[in-house]
Amino acid sequence: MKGTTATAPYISLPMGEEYILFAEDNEGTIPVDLSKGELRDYSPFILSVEAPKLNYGLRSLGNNRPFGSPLEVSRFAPRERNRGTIAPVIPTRSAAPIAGGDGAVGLNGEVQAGVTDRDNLIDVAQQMSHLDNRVPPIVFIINPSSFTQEYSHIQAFQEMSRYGFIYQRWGEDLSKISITCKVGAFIAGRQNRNEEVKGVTGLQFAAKRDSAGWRNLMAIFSVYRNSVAIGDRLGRSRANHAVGRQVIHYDGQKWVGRIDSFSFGYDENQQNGGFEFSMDFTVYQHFYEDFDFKTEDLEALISPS
Amino acid sequence: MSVENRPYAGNWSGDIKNKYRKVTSWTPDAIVKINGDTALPGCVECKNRIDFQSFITSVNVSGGVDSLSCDISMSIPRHYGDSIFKEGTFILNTGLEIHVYYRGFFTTSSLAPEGDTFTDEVTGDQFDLSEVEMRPYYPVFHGIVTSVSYEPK
Repeated sequence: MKGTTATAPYISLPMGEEYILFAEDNEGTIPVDLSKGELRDYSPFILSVEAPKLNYGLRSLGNNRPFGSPLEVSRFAPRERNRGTIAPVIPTRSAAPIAGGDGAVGLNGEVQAGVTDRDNLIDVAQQMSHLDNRVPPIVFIINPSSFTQEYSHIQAFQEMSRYGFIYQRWGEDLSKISITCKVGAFIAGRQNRNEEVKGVTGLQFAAKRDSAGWRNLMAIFSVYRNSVAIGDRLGRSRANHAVGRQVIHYDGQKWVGRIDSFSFGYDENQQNGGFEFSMDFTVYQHFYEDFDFKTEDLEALISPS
Repeated sequence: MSVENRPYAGNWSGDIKNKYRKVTSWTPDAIVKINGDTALPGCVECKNRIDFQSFITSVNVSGGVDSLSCDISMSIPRHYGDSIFKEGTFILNTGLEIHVYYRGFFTTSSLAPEGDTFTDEVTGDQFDLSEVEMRPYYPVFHGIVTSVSYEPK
């Protein structure tokens, strides 16, 4: 899958009850990317998602259009459960409540379905399919302005014996990556020159929502907020069904791990964009993609003569 | 399953270079049922029910060969406003039946009957629900409340 400036594949990822992003892209306006694509092509900085390792029973993939209209946001809405309660229910042989219950809403003696009931299976399958097939990798429009890798060991030199401190060592800790990036200018253009646009165009703060820089930022932010989690959209709890990984691809390397923190802020001196955001990442696995070949695949050099 | 894939293997790896060490991520969860439900009747007039799930901050089940016990802690805000006290008594009292379920570590399929398929009307994806894997919940405690204490803050 290629990267996209559409926000719909990302913002429809479940991010919990308290945070909802809307596709506020205006009709008729298009993001304008003022960055130099060739520079990015040499060594793109890419953030992608790695869905949890769950079999979700996909038989056939339907309308796979991650590059559909950015306005198409409602296609990943959760299905509604056909009952009026939001409490999780699990298989149990418990009888009806001992006392009370008569007339209370939702308290009845019916045999309850489970947290792993059909509705939840469908919800997990839908979310897994979306993560696996419809979340394109995010190509950073502007590569990070700083990239720091931190390696540390787990060790201690504190416990005292008769002969001094005891040096204990447990090996290498998980390494960390910190990046700082710049958001592009808030600039949007007309899709069709002769048509009247509903949105705002030009280089100005009001064009933020339709700008490539802001959309790129919101896509990254959505992946951070969603945390590659299969959320409990039916139970509406924070008890995610499963969690996957985030992956950074850069400079022929691949880091699999999770984003620890993400921050951005507005600056009154940069109302037209260009402000910074930063991200911390804990690495679980590190691969050198360019060197990931077998020696038998290598071919001998052809003699120049 | 090899030892490395066991949940309690943690970061341990047989690979001495520690290059391909494994980090396991999973989503533990606990569900507590009181008298067979996740909620208790609240205000009689408005026929409300109090969902105690959202107040539970910790669940601890400890078992041995001769005893099994469970501690459940809750934080109920003062402004909750429902009838958690009735006639001067805390609604949670001794004698209530408690079920505790923990989410398992291993995934399981066949949670739907074989041949049960689902087609997503919007995306057109077709799924075989009998193959969809989830981590089911397992009963880890069944008992009754023997003591309740609360501390107004």
